[in-house]
Amino acid sequence: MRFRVIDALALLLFAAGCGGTLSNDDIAFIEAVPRKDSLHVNVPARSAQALGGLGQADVFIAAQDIATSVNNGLDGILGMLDLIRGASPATRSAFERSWGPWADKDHPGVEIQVLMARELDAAGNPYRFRYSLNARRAPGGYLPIIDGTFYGAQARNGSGTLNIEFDNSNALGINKPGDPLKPMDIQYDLSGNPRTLDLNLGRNANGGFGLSSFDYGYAIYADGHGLFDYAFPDGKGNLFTVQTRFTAAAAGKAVIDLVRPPFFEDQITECWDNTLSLTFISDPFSVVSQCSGLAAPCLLGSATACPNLP
Amino acid sequence: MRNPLALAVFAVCFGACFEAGAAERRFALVAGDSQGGQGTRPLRYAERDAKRIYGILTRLGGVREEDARLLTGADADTFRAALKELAARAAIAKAAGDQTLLIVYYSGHAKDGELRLGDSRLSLEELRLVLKDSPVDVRIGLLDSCQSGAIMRGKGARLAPAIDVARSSGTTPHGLVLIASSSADEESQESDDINGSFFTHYLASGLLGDADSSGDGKVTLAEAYAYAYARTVGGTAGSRAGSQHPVFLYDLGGAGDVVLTELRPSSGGLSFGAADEGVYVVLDASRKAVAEVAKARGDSRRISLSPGRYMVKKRLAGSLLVGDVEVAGFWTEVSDAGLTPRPLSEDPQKGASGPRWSLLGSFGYQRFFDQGARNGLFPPAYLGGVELSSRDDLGHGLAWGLDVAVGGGSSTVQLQGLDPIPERFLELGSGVSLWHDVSLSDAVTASLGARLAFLYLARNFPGHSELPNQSFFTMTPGIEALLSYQWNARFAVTARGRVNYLFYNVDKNQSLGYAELAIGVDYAFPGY
Repeated sequence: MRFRVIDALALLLFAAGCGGTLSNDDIAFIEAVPRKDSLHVNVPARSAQALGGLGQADVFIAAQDIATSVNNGLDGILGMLDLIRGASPATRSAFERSWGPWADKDHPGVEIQVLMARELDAAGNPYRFRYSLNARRAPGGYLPIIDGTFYGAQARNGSGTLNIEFDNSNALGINKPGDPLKPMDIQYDLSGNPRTLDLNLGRNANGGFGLSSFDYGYAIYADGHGLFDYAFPDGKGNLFTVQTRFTAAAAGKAVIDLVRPPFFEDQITECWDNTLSLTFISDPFSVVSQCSGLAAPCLLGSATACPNLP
Repeated sequence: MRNPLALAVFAVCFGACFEAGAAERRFALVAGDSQGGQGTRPLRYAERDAKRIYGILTRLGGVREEDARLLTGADADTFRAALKELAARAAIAKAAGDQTLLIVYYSGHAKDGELRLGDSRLSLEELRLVLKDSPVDVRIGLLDSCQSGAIMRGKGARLAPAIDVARSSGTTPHGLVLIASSSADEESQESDDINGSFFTHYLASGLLGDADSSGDGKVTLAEAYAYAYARTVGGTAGSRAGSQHPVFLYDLGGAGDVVLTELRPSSGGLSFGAADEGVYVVLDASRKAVAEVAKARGDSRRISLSPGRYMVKKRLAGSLLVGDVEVAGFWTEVSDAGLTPRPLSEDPQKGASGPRWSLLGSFGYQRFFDQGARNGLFPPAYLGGVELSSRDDLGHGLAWGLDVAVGGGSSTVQLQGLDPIPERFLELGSGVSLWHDVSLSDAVTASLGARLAFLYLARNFPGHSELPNQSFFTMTPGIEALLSYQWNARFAVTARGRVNYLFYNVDKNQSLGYAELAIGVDYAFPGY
């Protein structure tokens, strides 16, 4: 290896003191990781105050709480990745970064590290990032807690997946109360219209984050209208799975599948206006409270009052 | 032939001679040219000499600035044109009844009977004839160049310590006087010690007042020549080229001599009392000699100087006396008792006057050569800073300085596939420099040196809270060059360029270079 004067000079200066965190590549890596608030379900709130004769759209109002639970769960997961935003990488190479290991201040004896790798396409553009947050309780080896894959260059307009290995966090004793017990998958695509988010708690029979076991789906269009699929139980052992479509002003339509073990199923259709006042109910078995005492099938209001949604 | 009686007679009669009756109008053409064309080496002080004489004639010599022309680096045609124009103006003044006087001074190369103004030539014979035929009452030619005595070849040039001034009556002086710094076969010599040619240095010293042997506050042509002759011969006696002998041609009719400078009380200067004796050298703020005073005990001398701070040096057998003086429109007394003894090794003219401290405030622009490095990592920056420097501290012309600078700006990081990311950055730098000053002229100094700096950079990303702040620090060596123009004794305008090396090692190991350009104002602290 040829030894040049410039190398010697560089070595001398390096020895004298040279370093820091000034790195464009660090930015490229960090921008590929979704931020805590970048994956959120946002259901529009009522945009006017009034209440029609059919009562309020409780099913859609419930969506607000469910969205909050989904967002809190996502924030908890992505918050773990925020560790890399406050620290300089421990190692750098052209295609890899690592952060940590750190001692988990909330769980004595546990160490956390983050590994990240990127792949470039032929033109040098970022094609895919893979990252993982791993934890271990010494002397054991590292177990993956979060496995992420991202396609694109910047998380806010790319697509990716997050696999949360709750079984490993449970095994290490670092899970939070209410966390799912089994792995959970998140898929997101922020690159197009609509922007979509899918949070699959289907492998967790008991759900998690206060949510029922379900594959939650959310899509939001640039003009503000969107859809949100979710599930929630009531206190009587019924499980409502809901497919909603809503406008930016909060008017919407929901198709509600009611499952009452062991065999009863009903499919209810409800529409509401901007004030979240119900304008139409179709309940084949007259299960909902507004149809109580009415002959089945129960039809209240007019279907023409339903918002015109794509 | 020295003729003290004639000098005394002239001194007495002057007031009744040239000044009597008619108004006086003086004109001066002063030229200096360091270049002599092919076969010559550039002179170091020719242009400085010209500026000194120009300053003395316009300040003390009765030449109004509109009647004076200073040519530096001009060619022969320009010289001829200026001389013709001044002669014409003098003729008009003379026609209007004024007594007229024209002084032509030249400092530069001469060879083979010709003045060499760059690549152009002006024969000494032509100059002599032009002066001879100019319609001016008194024409004085002062030539400080090698073999300049050739202008008088065959015309009765005299090698003598003094001009014989004969007294006539009835008419004012008229005619031609030629004074050359050396005879037709001698070299005219320059000296780094006095930062000028011997002849002009002593002529200037004499005109400033040291030649005023009569003590009447007026320096006449005879006094100036006698002084310059004696001091030039004495000053060059030990030189390798041997003694240099100024010569003169005196063809002045009428009532004798001409007063060249007058030491007006309002002009201010230095006064050397009768109690001390010896040779005193007066240095300006840049440690260049502006005058000498050589006096015997019992004589008093006054030299007129522009307002400002000066240093007076007197050499003793094995030591020096040195002191700071200020001239501000009055006569400042200089005495040995007021000077401080110093060893010879601390001769201020040798650059060992102790440190000269100054503070440079500068504003500049920094740019990295590598386009990739400019992308967010090291974007172009504006820097403001100060530098404390000490000149002549480590040796003659050697200076060192400590500087700090702060700067920054805003930029954007452009990364493939990412939207542009705005950034704000801050840069702090501090360095130590060592350089060598070279005087290009009286007012212009060039410097070249090296600098080792510590550089710290930090940046953040407005609107991108997901991105942490970043920083970088390193040592960065480089070279620097400065060009300074001395505005006055205290202030200089400086242009500075630096080229630096920087080793970057975060994303990858990379050798980078960057340049800085800055302008600033340098303030020299009082006290030297």
